[in-house]
Amino acid sequence: MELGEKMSEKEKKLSQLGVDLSGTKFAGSYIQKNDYIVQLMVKQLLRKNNVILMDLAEAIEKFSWVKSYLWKVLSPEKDKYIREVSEEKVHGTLLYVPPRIRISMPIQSCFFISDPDIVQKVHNVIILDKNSEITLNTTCAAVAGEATHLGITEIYLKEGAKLNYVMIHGWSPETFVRPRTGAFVEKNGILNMFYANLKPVRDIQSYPYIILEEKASANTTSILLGIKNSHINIGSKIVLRDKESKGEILSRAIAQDNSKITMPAEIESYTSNTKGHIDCKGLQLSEKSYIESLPILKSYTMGSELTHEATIGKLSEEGLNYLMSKGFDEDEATSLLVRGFIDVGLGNLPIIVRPQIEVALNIIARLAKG
Amino acid sequence: MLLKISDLTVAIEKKIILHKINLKINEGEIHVIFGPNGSGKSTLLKSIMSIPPYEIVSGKILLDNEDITYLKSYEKARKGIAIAYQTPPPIEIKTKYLLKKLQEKYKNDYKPEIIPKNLYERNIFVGFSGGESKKTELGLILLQKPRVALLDEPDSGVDVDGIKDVAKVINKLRDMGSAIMLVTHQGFITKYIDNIDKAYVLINGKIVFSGDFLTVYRKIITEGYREWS
Repeated sequence: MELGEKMSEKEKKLSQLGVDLSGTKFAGSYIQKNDYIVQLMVKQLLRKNNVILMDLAEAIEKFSWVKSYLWKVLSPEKDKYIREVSEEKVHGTLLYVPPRIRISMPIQSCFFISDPDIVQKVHNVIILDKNSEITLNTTCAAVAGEATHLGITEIYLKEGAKLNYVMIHGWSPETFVRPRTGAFVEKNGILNMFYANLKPVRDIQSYPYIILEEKASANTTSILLGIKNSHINIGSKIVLRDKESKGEILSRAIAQDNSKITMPAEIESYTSNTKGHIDCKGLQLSEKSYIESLPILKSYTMGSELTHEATIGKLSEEGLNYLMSKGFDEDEATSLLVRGFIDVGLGNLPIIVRPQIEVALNIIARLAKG
Repeated sequence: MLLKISDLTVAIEKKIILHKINLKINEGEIHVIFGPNGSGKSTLLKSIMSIPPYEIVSGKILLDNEDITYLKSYEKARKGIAIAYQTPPPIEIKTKYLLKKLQEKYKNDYKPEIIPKNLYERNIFVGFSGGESKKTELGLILLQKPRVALLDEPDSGVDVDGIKDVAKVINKLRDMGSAIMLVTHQGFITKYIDNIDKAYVLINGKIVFSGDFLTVYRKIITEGYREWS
């Protein structure tokens, strides 16, 4: 794999975010630098199971059926960023998993910006056919100055399919980021999404929109670290469209320095026997930080059970004093308390991806300073 | 002398609450501090450890002749002083995670048996019973292998069997060479502790009586604290 001559320092930064440049830990790997693909690795495990992992632009030309999935769950009318991406031929991943194929080894995708003034536009389409299962680890990063990332991800889970989707972001303080994610989960399908932001970012706004059919479920977890002047606005919306669908939105925000974090979360129910829960907690570590939690529950019929809890607070002084009396200095004690705060439980994610997430959570705890 | 406290005077919000306290303790000794509610026993231990909001107004704390009076609590902990809280605060950190971090900090892989295994996956002290809190807190003290252990009422809210377990830990600490300052309200636990070297009575922030343990204990059992109040 050749990532370019000046990549060694940048490679290191990507590795810190959990990117495996050798691809050995993954069943397949797609790495895009700026607007070109630098790695596309499809291992035998995927090939023998007819799993397709390829560049979306190429897939559109190669398979006529791909077009029927484009812009279905995210309409270009929805906002200008989606429209901007839809008007160009851009790269990104097409991931297709055939019926009943369950791959436990994760697939990796990585989108990074290595030079300033780049506007990286990406379009990903993920299709899991009936009763299939896969885990996708996506890392997005910028290792340059001012830049923009517009990333569109459309997810289609057919009946009984399960997607574990882990996203780790590590932008630079000058990056402007607009990810747009939409998911349609058919009957008995399961979508587990985990998101963590580890580095300062100029401005990021993302609000994945998930529609659930009968007995489908979705779980989104966002761990948001606001450092320096970061503006972070990340949440999700789950639509419980059909009976016995379930949705849970969990967010943890840690705001320090001058950062501003907004956690919007919405669950909408259109039928009875649905369940939805929103759990948003914010922790302010500085006087000038700002946290806003916006939980919204809507029920258009009788018989849905929707709940939310939201809190914003500061570190417990009692806890801090206790830990310091055990030999931890103030920074160490703060890290421990933050680590506890973001310890949200990863039980719904496969064991194989948990170590990478643990590393990300430890980075957040280490960076958090009161 | 391992730990020597001279004329320690402590205030909270400018109000003096401990008056010229003098104590000294050597390695492997156990000293018991008796006193009624509100006499300043917990304040004394927390002040020795520099736990806010108590402010040392005057006096000295020497550890091996080194003046540690104004060191921060974590610095004192790193020098070998450990404190077991009477009521440790509930903290959203998994018990096993804090244990791991303490093992790293104190460079050992000791797993204190006294901490019930079923508490490992729970957030520490969150919803723990009185006995579970005391046992966990003492387990953490063992892990620190302290030179001086300040134990604040490790027997309160613990059933008889639990008290025996707590006493075992105290005996073990002493056998390890730790100097132990044990604060107790009514002293029942002392029945299970071997060779207590000295006892003090603290009333209204002053040490009003000290002597060999049995003399002090018998006096308290028969006469209570009224005589000194």
